[in-house]
Amino acid sequence: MKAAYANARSPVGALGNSAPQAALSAIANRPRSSIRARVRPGVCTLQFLRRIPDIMNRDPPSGPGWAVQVRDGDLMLVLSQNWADTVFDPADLEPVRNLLEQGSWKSIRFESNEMGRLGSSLLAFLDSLRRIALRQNIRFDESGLPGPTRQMMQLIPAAAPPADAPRRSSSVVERVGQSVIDTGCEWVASTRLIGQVLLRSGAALRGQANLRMVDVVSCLTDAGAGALPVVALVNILVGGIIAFVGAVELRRFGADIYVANLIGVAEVRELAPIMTAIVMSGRTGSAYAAQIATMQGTEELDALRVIGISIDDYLILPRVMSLSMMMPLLNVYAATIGILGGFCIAVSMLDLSPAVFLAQVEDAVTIPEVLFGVVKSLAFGAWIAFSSCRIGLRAGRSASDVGHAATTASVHGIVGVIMIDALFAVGANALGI
Amino acid sequence: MSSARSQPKIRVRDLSVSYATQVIQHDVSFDVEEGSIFAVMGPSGSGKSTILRAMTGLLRPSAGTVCYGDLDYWSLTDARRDQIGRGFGVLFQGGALWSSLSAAENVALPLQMFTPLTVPSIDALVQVKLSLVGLQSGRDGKPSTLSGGMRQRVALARALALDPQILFLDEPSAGLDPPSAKRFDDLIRDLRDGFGVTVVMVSHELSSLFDICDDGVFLDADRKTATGHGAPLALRDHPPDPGVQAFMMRAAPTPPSVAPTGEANGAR
Repeated sequence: MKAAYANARSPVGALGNSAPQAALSAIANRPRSSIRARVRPGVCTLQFLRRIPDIMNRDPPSGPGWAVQVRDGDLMLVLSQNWADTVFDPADLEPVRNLLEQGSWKSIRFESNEMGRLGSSLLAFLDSLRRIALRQNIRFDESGLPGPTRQMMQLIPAAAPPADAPRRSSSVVERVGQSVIDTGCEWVASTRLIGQVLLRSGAALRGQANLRMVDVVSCLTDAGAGALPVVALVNILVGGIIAFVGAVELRRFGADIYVANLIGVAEVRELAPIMTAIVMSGRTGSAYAAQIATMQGTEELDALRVIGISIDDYLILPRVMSLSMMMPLLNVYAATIGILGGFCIAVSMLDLSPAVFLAQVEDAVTIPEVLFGVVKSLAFGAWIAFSSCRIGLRAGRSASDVGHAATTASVHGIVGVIMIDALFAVGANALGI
Repeated sequence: MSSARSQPKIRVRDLSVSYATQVIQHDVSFDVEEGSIFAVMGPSGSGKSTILRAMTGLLRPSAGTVCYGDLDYWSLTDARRDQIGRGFGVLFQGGALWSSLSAAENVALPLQMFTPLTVPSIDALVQVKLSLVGLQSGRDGKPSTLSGGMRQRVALARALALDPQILFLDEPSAGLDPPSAKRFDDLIRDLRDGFGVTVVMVSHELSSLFDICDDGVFLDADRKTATGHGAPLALRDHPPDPGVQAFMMRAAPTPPSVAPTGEANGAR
């Protein structure tokens, strides 16, 4: 919001030499976006102020911001503005800078008899002016300023604060090298975590780990019962979709009946483990990462370390155990639901008899197929839990780090699951499963 | 303090605050004069911060009014309350800095959001605010890289970003060492004197309260109501209530002028 104050007051005093007069006239003839210049014989008043809307809707202040005069070789700034409601643009000081460079001034002085409330704009204005004066070796005489303004100016150092040291830009080789080192360190840390948790799992099974059963039960409930609705929804829909797609293709060969085989094998062997793992990665894995990252930010992890409580036992082990134990169960549940979804579609829309469908499924789905899916889901669960916890542990301490950890955990979980599935597929092919 | 006492800046009347069914404080009334530093005192759990939340629009009171000038704050529309809220500067306990932004960006954000200022203007104002609060380094650092004292200073600079008319400070010197806390107190007084801002300060740091506060209210944790009004020093020297006396005596061993009981005299 720009304010061009119509009722500018008459400026005070008169200019004493022609050089500043010319400079002021030049300024007046080159109006800036935020300056309203008013020249009368010997005097120039510059208005450069814009208002912040007042919260109480008071009337805007009127009058020029400041006027420039020359008195006995000093540059006098007459301040006559309610500065609490105005803002300052450093570009507005450019004319004054030019003015100071053109004359030989002894000092900058102020007259503030008509000045209104103090605001940050005035401090910014005076701070910038003081720096210009410092550079030009001109005395900056604050004695004409109101007491509170002088008091505030004393809080602001005259010299510009030292800039933070610029970050040194690293070369490509340096960055690649650092990346390799970081990756290596991460592998070491992850391997250590996996080894430590596996060792502690043995201790836990022997009842020798510092596990709190209430935490284990909570994690089991969250990773198990809590996930049932979303796992069911996803898998019943996937089962139905496979039924539709399979029927379209198989019907061309008069092999509608094999839709049941397709659904059974696909669900048990691939779809249920994969879909469940994806759901759990997005739901539980990211939650683990966010929880642990938040604990990092609130120094809860440091508190555990200082007291001597093992983070592996207290935080990681319950989560890894819970998800690893629940994933196979969820997989069986998901496969059953998926087959049910396919069954509903096949019976209701593809005119397959229920008994025939079930017989075909029973025939197609063998125990090794089921075990294959169960073992895969166990690996998926362990991967999601390990990677999520590790990402949470290495997160930073800010809120954005928590969000980043949650997202990264979700992505790493899903990508890892697909890669592990590919390894299983190759292995199964080699073993003839 | 040289403000006229014709009309208080803030009037709190019969304010009750609660979380769900748990009453935190009830029937609290006090006035805050323009340009004063007002203390909300009391032991932990007495509802000091909760009262502050009700005054700053973060918690709707269960009863009572908070008036800014002639405006009954909680009877206004959301938009009007937001507008008035832009005249508040709030320093939260612990700073509550935005962790993804640098110190300078934390101060700049309110200016970017609520003013039509150019980038150079905002930069100049940010420099001034950070200089005012004494932050000479670490301006480009994220809050997680700053010390506790520096974070408090940045939080204060952010609270001052829009040149507030009222500054609410929730435990401003919590976690600071005594010299830093003293400097922070001096800074608050300088800001009040310089900008004429009205300060409402929640604290149980008695040295701060005695040093800089002009007026205050004491909240009782047990009875859940205000039991003392007046300048903190006056409350210390003339405690109106055993609760106030006990609180003031814990950190201020100056003997109060409350006459000892006859029983105590008799025992000696």
